[in-house]
Amino acid sequence: MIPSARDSERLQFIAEISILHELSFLSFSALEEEAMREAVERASRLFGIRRMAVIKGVRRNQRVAGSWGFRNKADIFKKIKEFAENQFLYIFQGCENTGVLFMEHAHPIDTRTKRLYTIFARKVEHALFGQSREQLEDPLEKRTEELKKINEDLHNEIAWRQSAQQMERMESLGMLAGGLARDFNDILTAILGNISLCLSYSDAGSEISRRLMKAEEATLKARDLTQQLLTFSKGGSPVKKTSSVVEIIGNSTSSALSGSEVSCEYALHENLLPVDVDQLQIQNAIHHIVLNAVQAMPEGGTIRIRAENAFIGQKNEFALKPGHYVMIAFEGQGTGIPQEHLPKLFDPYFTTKDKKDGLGLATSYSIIRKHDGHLSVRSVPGSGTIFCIYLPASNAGIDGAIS
Amino acid sequence: MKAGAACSTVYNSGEAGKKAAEKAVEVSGEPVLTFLFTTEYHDHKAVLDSVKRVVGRSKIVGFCSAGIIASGKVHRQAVGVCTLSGDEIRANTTLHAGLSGNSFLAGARVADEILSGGFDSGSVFIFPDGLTANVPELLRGLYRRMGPAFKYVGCCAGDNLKYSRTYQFTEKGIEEDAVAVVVLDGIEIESALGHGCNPAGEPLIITRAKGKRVFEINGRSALDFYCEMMGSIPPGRFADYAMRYPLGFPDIAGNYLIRDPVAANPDGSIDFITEIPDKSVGSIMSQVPEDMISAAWEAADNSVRNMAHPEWMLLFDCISRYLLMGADYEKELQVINARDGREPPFLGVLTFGNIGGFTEVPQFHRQTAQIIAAGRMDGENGGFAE
Repeated sequence: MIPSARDSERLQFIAEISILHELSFLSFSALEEEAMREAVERASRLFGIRRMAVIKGVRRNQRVAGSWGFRNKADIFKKIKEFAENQFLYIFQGCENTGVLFMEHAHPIDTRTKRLYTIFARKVEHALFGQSREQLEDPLEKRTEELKKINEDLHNEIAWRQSAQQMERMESLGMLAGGLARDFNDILTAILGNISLCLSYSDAGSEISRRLMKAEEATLKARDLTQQLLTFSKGGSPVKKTSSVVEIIGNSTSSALSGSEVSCEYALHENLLPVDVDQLQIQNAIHHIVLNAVQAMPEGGTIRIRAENAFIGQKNEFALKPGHYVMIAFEGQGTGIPQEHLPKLFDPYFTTKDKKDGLGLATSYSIIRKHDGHLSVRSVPGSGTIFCIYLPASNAGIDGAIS
Repeated sequence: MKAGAACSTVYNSGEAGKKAAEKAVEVSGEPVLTFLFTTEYHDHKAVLDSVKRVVGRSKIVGFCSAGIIASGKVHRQAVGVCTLSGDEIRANTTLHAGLSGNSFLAGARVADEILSGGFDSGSVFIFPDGLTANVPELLRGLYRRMGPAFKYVGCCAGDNLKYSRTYQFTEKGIEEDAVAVVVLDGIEIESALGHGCNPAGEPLIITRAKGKRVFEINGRSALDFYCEMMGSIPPGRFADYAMRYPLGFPDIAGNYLIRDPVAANPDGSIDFITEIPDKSVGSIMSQVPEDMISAAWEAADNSVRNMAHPEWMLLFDCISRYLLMGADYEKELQVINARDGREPPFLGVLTFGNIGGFTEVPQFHRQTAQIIAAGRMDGENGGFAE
């Protein structure tokens, strides 16, 4: 399910979209009395109308087809003549039997609401006089388009907020991990130095030497892990140079695929813009993403890697600066990632695999962010997962392309 | 105006009615109007007779419920009495049976009776049978002639979700399948309600419905659709899910009318508590206790916002809130009581749905807490007795 909508703006938006849907489906009974009852039900429930009347015919032929909230007929005609801001009057047109629909609210009616009243009134008109549906299409479609646009903006804003929250969380985690890793690295350096010293005092091939070598081996593993944590925390300041994405992809996938039954299928745009990146770091980031996909396909399969140029506009869901980017997508054929895991996927130490440290994707995320890019993931359980990287295109490349 | 409110938990029905009425009258003096609420385990006739003996010529209106709320607690077997006295107050009651036939017509007849009694304005308290009536139809029938000159509040009698029978009373007697109504003039009434539910999914369309039965949602079997939205519903748990995830139908201001399913049928249709209009569009709703409590607080606050000295208060709280909140329910009562930092003179009742409005037009609401406050800005103070 979609998360609960709590803020009033969104509630009102959902309400309006729902009412528009309801109005578009609306039809009334062919029997006048029944149609009036149905119209009253909708008008009071959807709009909070406190008085309503339908008058058919003109002058001497006038008759009240139905009313609600009035003591007597005289009151109806008196009210209609008031023309107050809380009243809505719709004149049935385009047929021989003209008439009016009158609705009254407790408060003044705004323009937005009047548009909805108009759609509703035309439905009543259609029921009472058989007016053609085409007359209704214009305002309904226009408002639907407006609401679609608002919906897109809201969607982008929500995604943008989520992305910003993720970045904030990763930054705090990075600071914590970085501090710990530095301290730990200093301690490991001391341990490693002393082991090396002891090794030099011991007899080669002795039991002590053998044990010391094992201790050294374990300490080196710990140092690698610390290095990875350091990379996650500050990414190592990237040393950028203008590079080709095609070359980077080629270099980074082969090691991740080695020893597996997984192969890669490439769809790389011919005129990909170059990017200003630290080539080794980006290769490292891609390596972890591909490795993750490989591990999700123990029976083997294909990873589709797609790269293309993209322009990101002012309002975007990734919290990226507007401009030209290169988008690289990695689509695996694994079992997909459960929805509840997705928000934590880039958190350090989050893993669902027994023997993994959970730093790979966190490192990738950190590296891409340090390059002012974005890494996102989409997954449908059972249908595989798509990781998507956006990297800012090099200005040199853009200028070249323009010239 | 003076008001008294009291609750008795004495087991003997006659004794309980007598004790509660005596304590309330002790504070209010000889009443013009008496609200009487009982619970399903009582002998309602014995209660009514004993109350009548105490309140004398007072008009009486009330119903049986699943619980009486007093002193921050729900009493599952109790009698609650609230009495109002004062020369400025005018009250008249109506008891109309046969709601299950044509609720719209029943509403229209009640309206005729009230208007013929010489009332042009005032507050109308409506207490229908929540099981048999089509309450929205009843309200539309009632409002059709009475219009916005009156304020409408009320709630439905219920029987603790056994769905068997409920009772409505006035001083004239006791009926089933009926509506007990009192019109009250001479007192300012404020009413506010809230539920705290939020839409939890894309809007859905009721593609086929008739009365209280929904056959199709989004063009599919209503039950299949609902179960799919829930993930899956374990056998025997439909009622629980239905209460937790009701449907909500919005108005233009973004307020939702809650409609909860009550039963799943073998043909894949779902029965609801009340009518679901064909081709209406709503959402599946969900709620958390914090939002529910916050909505109750807001309703309590709104009900007394324009009233410097509320002289008495009634709380109509839908029984589903009591069941959904469990241990948190007492917090709801606490926040309602704590709204202005003093011990409130009120009596509450667990209902089967409430009558009131986000606007001035009365609607039938489920899962709401409704607070009714009454008083005059310069009036005498009421009192509360237990």
